[in-house]
Amino acid sequence: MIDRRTFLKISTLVTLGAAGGRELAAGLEAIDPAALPAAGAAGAAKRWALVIDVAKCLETPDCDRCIAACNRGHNVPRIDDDRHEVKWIWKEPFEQAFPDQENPWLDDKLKSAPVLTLCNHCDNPPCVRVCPTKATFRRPDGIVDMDLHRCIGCRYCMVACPYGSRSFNWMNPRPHIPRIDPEYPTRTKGVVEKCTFCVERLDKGQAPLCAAACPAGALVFGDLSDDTSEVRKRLKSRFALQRKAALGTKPMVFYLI
Amino acid sequence: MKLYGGSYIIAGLVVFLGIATFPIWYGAIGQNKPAFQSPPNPAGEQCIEPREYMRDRHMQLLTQWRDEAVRGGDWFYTATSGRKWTKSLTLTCMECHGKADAQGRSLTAATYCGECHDYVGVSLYCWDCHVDPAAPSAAGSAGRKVALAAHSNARRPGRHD
Repeated sequence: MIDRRTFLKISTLVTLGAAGGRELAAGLEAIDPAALPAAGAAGAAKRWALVIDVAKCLETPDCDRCIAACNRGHNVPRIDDDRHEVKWIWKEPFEQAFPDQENPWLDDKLKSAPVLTLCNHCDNPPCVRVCPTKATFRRPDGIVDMDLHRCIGCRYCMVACPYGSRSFNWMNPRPHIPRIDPEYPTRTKGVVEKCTFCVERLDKGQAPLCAAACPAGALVFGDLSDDTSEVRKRLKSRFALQRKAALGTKPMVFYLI
Repeated sequence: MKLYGGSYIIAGLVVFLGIATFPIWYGAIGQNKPAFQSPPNPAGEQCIEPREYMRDRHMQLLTQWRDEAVRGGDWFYTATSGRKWTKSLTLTCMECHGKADAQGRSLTAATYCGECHDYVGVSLYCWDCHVDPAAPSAAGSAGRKVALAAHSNARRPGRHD
C-alpha cells in the first residue's frame, strides 16, 4: 500500500497536469486578434464626414425622406412614448441643436427651425472612451460603430454623449417596427443603438441611406482626407457650424449655414 | 508506511467520483432520450464548406464572421472551394436553410437550427436580433417568402418575441 505522502504527491501532479493541459488547449483555440483583416478593407478610407446644407434643407421643412429611409433601412422602431423612443436621425429646433449659439437676437424663425441631428462620429468620441466592453469602437475610417453582440446595456455611452445621439431599447423593439427589413438585423431589449453612417453600405461602396434619399442634395457625404472631395469643396465654399465644438469631441457632421 | 484510514479515503473517493461523473454515466446508461434526428436539409446544393466541417465548426465560423465583418469591415468569405460568400447569417445561411425542405416544410430558424439546439440544450439568441426570413413576422411584413410561410402553418414553433 502507498503512503499518504506519495498518494498526495501523485494526486496533486495529476490535477495540475490535467488543469495545465486544458489551459494549453484553450490557448491554442483562441482567435488571434492580429489575424483579423484591417478595418475598412472594402472601402479603403479615409475620414468619412457628413455635410448638411441647413439652408437648402430648410427650403422644404416638412420633408423627412432621409429620416424615413434610415428608419426603414435599419429597422428603427417607432415608439411614441418619448421616454422609450429610439432615434438614429431626427430633427431638433436650431436653438436646441446649437445651444452654444447664444445670440439672443437671432431670427425667431431660425431659432425654431428644424435641424437634422444624428451621431456626429466624433474624432474624439466620449462614448468610446467610457464603454466598458469596447462594444462601441472607432474604426480607422473615423466611423464610431457598435458591436451590439458585446453591448451589456450599461448606458454609460448615453451619459457620455453630449448630443443625445444614443437610444436605449427599454423593450423588445420588434412589435414597434412598422415593416421589418430582413436584410438588416433588429435590436433586442437591453442594448443601446445609434446611427452607424451605414457602415454596411459604405463597405460595399454605397452612400449612406440618408444622403442617398435626399432629393435636394442637402446631405453630402464624403471623405475629408481627400482634398478634392465634394465635402471638402462644400466646407471651403460656406461657413459651417459643428454641434458643441467647444467640448473638444471633434464632431464630423458639419452644418452649412 | 501506511495510508491511515485508507479504506475510508478510497471509499470516499469512489463515492465522489461517482457523483462527479453522474452526467456522463447517467447519459450513457439512461436511454431516456430518443436518438437525434438530423434536421431536414435543404434539397440540392452543398453548404459553403463540407458537411462535417459545418456540423462541427459552424459556431466558430459564425463567430469569426461576426468579428471580421463588424469589427474589421471585411464582409466577404472565400470558401475552400474558392467561392465567395457574404458574411451574413440572414442573407447567406438562411438563403438555403430558410427554404422549404424536400417535404415542402418551411425551414424557419426554429426548425432548422432549433431542433438540434433544443436537443443538446444550447439555447440560441441569434434570432432575437437577426431576422429569420422564413419566420412568419418577417415574411408577412417584408413580402419575401410569403408563399412558403403560408403553406407551412401546420408546424410553426413559437418564437419568443
